[in-house]
Amino acid sequence: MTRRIHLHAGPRDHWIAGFAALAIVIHILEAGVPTPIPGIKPGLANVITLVVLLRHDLLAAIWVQLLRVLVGSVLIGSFLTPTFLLSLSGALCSLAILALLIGWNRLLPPARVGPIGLGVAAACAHMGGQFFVAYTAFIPHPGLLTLLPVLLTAAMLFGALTGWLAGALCLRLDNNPDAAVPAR
Amino acid sequence: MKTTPADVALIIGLALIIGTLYARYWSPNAAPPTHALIRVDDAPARRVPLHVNDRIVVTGRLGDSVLEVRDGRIRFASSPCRRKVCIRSGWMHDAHDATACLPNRVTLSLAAADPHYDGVSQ
Repeated sequence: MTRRIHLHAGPRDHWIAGFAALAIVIHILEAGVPTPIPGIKPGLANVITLVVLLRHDLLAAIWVQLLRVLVGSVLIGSFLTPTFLLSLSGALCSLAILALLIGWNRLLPPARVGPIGLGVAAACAHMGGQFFVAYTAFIPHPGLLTLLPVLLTAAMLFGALTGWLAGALCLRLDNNPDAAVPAR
Repeated sequence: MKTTPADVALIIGLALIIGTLYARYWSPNAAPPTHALIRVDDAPARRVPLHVNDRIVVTGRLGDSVLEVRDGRIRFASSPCRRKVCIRSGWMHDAHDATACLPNRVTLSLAAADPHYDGVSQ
């Protein structure tokens, strides 16, 4: 006897998949753009993660982020390569810092961290986590540390950009009656 | 899109951390090298202190290479190779600087007091 398992995708699963698909497309487009220094890229896919975090909840943002890393790497062909491990460790670190800041915002609403702060913190955590793994697991050479401040500067700039974009996008979505927020 | 005071505080904090990192890793002579590592073929590295002015002769596949240590720096003074790339790379003075005379199978790298690695590729 085989037992059938039915998996029902609810509306929440559908919109999470939709946001993840958007993030994956941006991720793949960005992977095709050459960068001047290895390790530096805008990370615009994180705009989607931030929008989901700001308009929905942390759990949905975690889903979107991890689906993006997983499916993005499978489509690009870097699944389980060092690139994937770096991407995953960065994603996990940025999610951890976002969770921390969302908790902070709940505890202290007057001292709220806005989209730009969230973007900057997430980008720097992403870079920091990636760098830590790269340094400890792949290239334990002190010369690599020279690159760290440069990479973090880029992360800060691009983090501010993604945060600003996410905030602006949320404002537009809030004013658009067609973009009704599905039930939380 | 406006920034909140917490955003500003967060950005200033991160900027301070990054500034410290620049000061640590981008200031000149952050960690002056204390000795040079000279390898010939697959033999274990020979450590040469950089605070003693000296001329070191090492014998490689083609013949003798002469390395000159002066004022905390080291260079290939002469080598039996054809193109003299090692000599033209001049004085090595920063930690992790490295050069080599490949035809003669001699490599030279500078290290600070306590290297946690045993190989450098640049």
